[in-house]
Amino acid sequence: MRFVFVKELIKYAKKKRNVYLITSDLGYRAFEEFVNLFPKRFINVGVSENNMIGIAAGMAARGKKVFVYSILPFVVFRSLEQIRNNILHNDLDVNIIGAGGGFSYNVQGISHNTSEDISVIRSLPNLSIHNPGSRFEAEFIVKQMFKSKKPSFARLGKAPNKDFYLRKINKINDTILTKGKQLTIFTTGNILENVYNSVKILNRKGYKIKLISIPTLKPISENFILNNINTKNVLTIEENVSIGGLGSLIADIILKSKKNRKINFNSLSLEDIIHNKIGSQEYLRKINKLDQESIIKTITKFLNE
Amino acid sequence: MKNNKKKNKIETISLDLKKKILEISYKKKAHHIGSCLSCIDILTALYFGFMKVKNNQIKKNDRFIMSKGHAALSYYLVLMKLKFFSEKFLLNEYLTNNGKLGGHPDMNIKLGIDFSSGSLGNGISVAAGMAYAHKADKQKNKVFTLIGDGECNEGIVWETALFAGHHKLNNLFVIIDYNKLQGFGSTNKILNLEPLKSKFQSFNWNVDQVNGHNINQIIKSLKKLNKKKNNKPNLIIANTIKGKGVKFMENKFESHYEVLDSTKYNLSIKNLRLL
Repeated sequence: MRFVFVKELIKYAKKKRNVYLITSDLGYRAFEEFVNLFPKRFINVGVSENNMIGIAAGMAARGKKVFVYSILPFVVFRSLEQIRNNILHNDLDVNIIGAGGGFSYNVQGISHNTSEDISVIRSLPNLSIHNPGSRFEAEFIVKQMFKSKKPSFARLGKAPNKDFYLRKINKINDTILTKGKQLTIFTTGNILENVYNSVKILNRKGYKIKLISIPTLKPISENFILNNINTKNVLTIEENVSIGGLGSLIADIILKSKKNRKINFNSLSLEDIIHNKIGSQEYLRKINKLDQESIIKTITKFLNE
Repeated sequence: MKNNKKKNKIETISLDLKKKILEISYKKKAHHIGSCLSCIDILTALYFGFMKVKNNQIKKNDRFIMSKGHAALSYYLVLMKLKFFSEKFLLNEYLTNNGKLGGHPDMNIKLGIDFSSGSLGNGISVAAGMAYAHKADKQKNKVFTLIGDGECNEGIVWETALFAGHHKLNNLFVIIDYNKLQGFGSTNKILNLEPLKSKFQSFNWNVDQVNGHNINQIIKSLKKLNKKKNNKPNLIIANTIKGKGVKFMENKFESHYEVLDSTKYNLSIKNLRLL
């Protein structure tokens, strides 16, 4: 999805001269075109995420629209304080792009994969949080980042180049992918591919499942969530731990609302353990019950209970 | 002669603000008195003897980040003297519930506070970002930051030292308040910074050393560095005394934490009169 991101970024950078891209030495085979087009608006600060956030904050304080790029855990966990104090507290136009997320970095291990980045980052105030799951979703979120002058974050996981949407996304309602009155599934991020394929198979078999993708986790429209729950059963699916993730986000909204007291809710998410197993994205998803087969099993078991 | 006259005027301002540091810290039961006394001469030299700052020309101003945010009171007093706000405002807002002037500064352009600080090490990095943006826009405003010596323990300081040297940020001026004391003892015993001058020189910075309580020397050093045409970022190592001017506080790291009672307050004011 980083290629989609760069393509969109270039499109907007052509129009807006204050756009800068800063990286902590990452982006090989992704940023070359941007560098060629805007050599003076690209800064590689070197392998120094903390300084990257400081530099970005200083530049944004002087009127620049800054995008910073790194591998997710490096920028989220190492530079959390810099993000909180320098960017969010001072309300600066810095947009944090984290590559990877979940098991996108597969065999590279726990230093590169993340199971809890969404949880940590979601607790920070004054930060928009995007987690696109497809090309059109990524295009949509970059557009949102350019509409706003406030801090934002995006988790860009590995996703296939095809799309699940028939047309481009223009508004939040466009992310309802299938309709059904038996079960509502909310999902977020690049696990969308597996969830979408599972739902397609089940609906073809006669199940009636409504699938809603949530590419933007914050701010979230509670009304959009509640108005779209017209089934007794609700399931969330994400490649992140449930603590602070999509699971707890949707559960909070449901529990606080008055009209949905009788909902049968569950969440399929990563376990609250150290996810240090080595393997391909497919393997790691499989052992964490996020492969297509396991998702189908979880859904049918949930509906038959 | 003209220079001398100016120097005396700034020295008078500094002495006046030292009294205010003690007075307000006593009233507000504030900590960090030693830190404020350590850097007030640097701040007055910088703001009244070199920087271009006017409260009615905010966009054109040079920028400053008080990276050693714990000495906030000395910074607020300088901004007060520049008429960004009144003394009444300072007394009403400093360390009060729902006040605008906390124990560490929060960014507020109207009040003259160019960036927030409090977590050590971040100021130099943000200042370098500002300096980079100014250069990109061919803006002439300079960017200044005051950092502590203990602060130089932070890794980000050295990340930025590399960055600023590499990108030739000659519009960046960093001053180290080198009082040789940090949170829990002496800098040399906890984590030795020496040789500090050659460290920064080897990172491709201009480095000058001054007596951080000699206002004339500080201003001269800033002017000297400003004239250099070698495209290097600038560092002034200002040798200072923590708690300067108050005998029982001088060179004591405890003055970072000490709160004045009435006896100590009166004694500290008497000490200052001797200066």
